[in-house]
Amino acid sequence: MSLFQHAVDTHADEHAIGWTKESRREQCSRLDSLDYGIARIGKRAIIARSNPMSAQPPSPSDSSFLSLQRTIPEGFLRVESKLEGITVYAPAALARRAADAKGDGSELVSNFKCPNCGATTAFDPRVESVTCSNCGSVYAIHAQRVGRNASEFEFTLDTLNSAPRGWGSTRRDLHCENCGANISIAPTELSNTCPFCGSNRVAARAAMPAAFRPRFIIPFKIVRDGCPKLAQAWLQRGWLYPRNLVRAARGAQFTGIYLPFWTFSAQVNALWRAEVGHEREERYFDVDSMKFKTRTVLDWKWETGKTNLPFTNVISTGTKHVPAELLEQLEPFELNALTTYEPAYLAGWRAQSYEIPLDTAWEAARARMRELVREMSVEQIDSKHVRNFSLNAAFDEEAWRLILLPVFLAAYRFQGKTYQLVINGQTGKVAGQKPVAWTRIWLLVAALVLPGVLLAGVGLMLRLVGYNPLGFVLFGGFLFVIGALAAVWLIQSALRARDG
Amino acid sequence: MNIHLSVVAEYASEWNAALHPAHCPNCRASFLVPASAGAPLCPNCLAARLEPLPALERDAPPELIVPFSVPDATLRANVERWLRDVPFKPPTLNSQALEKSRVAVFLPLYLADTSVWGAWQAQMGFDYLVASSEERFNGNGWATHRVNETRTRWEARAGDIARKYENVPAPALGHHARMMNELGANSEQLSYDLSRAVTFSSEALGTALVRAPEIAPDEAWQTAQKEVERRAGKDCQTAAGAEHHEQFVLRGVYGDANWTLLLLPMYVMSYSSDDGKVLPVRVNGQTGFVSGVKRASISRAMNWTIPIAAVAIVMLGVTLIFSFAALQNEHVVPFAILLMLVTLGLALAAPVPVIRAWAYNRQ
Repeated sequence: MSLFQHAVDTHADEHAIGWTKESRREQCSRLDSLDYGIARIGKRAIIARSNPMSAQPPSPSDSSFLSLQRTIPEGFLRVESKLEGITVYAPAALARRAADAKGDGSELVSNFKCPNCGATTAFDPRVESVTCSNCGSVYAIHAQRVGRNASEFEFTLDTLNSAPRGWGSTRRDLHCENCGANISIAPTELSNTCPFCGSNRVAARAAMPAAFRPRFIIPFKIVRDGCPKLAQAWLQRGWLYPRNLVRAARGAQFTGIYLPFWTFSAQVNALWRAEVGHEREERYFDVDSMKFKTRTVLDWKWETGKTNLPFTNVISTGTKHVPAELLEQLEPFELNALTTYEPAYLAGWRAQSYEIPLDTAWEAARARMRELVREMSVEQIDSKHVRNFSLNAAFDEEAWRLILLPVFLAAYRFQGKTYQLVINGQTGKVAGQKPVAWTRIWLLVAALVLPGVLLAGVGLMLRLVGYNPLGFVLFGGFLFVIGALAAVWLIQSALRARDG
Repeated sequence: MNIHLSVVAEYASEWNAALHPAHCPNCRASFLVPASAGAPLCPNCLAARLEPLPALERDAPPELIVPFSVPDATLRANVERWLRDVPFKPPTLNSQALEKSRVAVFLPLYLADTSVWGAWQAQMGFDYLVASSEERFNGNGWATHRVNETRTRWEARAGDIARKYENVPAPALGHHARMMNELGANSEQLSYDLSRAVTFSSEALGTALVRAPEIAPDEAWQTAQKEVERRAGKDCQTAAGAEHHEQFVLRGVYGDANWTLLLLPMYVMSYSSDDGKVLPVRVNGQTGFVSGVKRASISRAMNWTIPIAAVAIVMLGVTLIFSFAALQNEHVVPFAILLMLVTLGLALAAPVPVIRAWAYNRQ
């Protein structure tokens, strides 16, 4: 029985026996008691609720309150509250990130001086630490190896505004008047050569802090001393090149430099639509021949499909001063070795700030992704007859990183021309430009084509003296075609080798 | 209606108005009725007349009242607008008849004030803008369409709370939510602007009936507590600078809890449907929002259907005569065809009014 029904029934009984209101109220008092734990308040106007006041906490002797009063949860930090009377705690990592984003931009800047003797220190790939060549002290770098799971940024204005900038250490910029490259160097480095073009028309100036700071880095694994041997082995490979190339490149100075790269990830969800022609065999009656014949006809139908493709760690170069083709030849970089960026990794090494901005690099990466999605979509169509193909690709979960990858650069001159040589500072893989021995190539081309020409010539002479030269001419022509094809392949190979 | 005069006198002293308790024998809703109103139809179910009661379980006068504030002209215009789409209206479903049946009723509502102290935790959602893109390929190549998307990042938050909440509505009627919905409830589940409430007075009460609370304040407090938690959740979201929250958990103690009784104005009007059933039309006494079940009259629709059908039958006879004539004289053929088409049109049109009324009622 509900409270209300009980009350009504009580009233019905009361009505029957004619109780007075007061006595009935007493009877009902157990139902209508005001002692509910909440008190009725007197007449008052409605208070505007837009700005409630924070209440005073209960008495400290209130045991129920004390049991609720909490300490800061483990792993949490107090963050700013935008409302009086409420405190807010956030997970420590998020709280620190928010505090960093709101900071005044000031930070501890490393200067790479040895705390022991004050001499300049440098990162040594052999011990993966910063060492002092003067006193031999070794300082470990407190960085975290994060690999391919290195955190990424989304394309938010907030992120772009709050991302740290500069190198996080005192550095100078070296500007090359010849090729226009900007290279970041340690303040104590005495350098007057551009690692990209070998020019000595360089000018030092204070580093520009405007660029995004890289968040991850793959430290050098290869030491500078090992580079000439790697380069020599690579230069000696192949027979299209001049013999004295190794000697000419012997003087090349290898410069270890961290080059900027962008990595992009995205999920692409595409919907395609196309008219697809399906072949069908059709029998028809041919009036001319008075026979039934078979012919192939195309049935055109609109078809649609979906392509969902995830992309992770699509690498795009951030430098304009090393040809992208050369850098592609240096791949793969083992991204599992990605480590959180610490300025100490740059000690004694050069670094280049990105020259290709994020939006340009992202546009290029997106173009590669969408083209791959288009190719995959077309592959879904089980017919070679396709027309009016259209595709809508929506990008989702786009993310980017700015990373530094280790590369040794060298420029050497041969017969008045400059050639670039690059070595993967992690794997030791070599790529570069090599001059081609064109005299050797042309002689070989001539050797390939000549037998055919000679045989054809012999055939012609035999014809002049009255013999039937058909066999000579045919065989000579065959040899000529084979030789010409081989010559074309040879020239193309030489051009490719020359361009690196 | 046999009203005990001593009861009226007692309520007059408490409420400063001549009221007597009554209830509906059909739906058991309790009211305080002006002594001059006699035995009105129950405004809640419209199925029985109110019967006097010696006393009400909860009859204490309220502290606050939201007065009726809809002018008659506005009320009439709103009702007419509400009726506009009803085809074949029953005879009593028009603004004049509805106005005649109009009864003013006040509905009870509790307002709770409380302070809350405790610890909370929740998942907070932070919106952020992302520059995304859509790539479109056609025969001419690729076209890029920039898209700015709002995405939500969910993060854990916890904290302490010590805040006071005032004027938290708590239902005094079992069907409060449905009633508020019918009276045009907003997102706060309340269809009245409480800032326009005034101190209770018999003048504001006028000749309106007063619905007695069905729910005791302690029961209502349970609902108020949920509302306080909802508001606390919103406040914690604001404190964290978030745009959304979910999985909000509050472990707290409540103190300084007080309650106030408030009366909300409503008009109840009624009309009879074809089957003699009395149906309510409710109007929010503050905003003029009209709601209720709208019924078309099938019998009124039949008033159109039957004459059209009769004409169609007559036309059918004429058509048959002309058809026979057409067999003898080919010049009559066009007339016969024309008559046949007209007859067919009338036959098809005849059931339309009934179908329309039936379909409207079904809808």
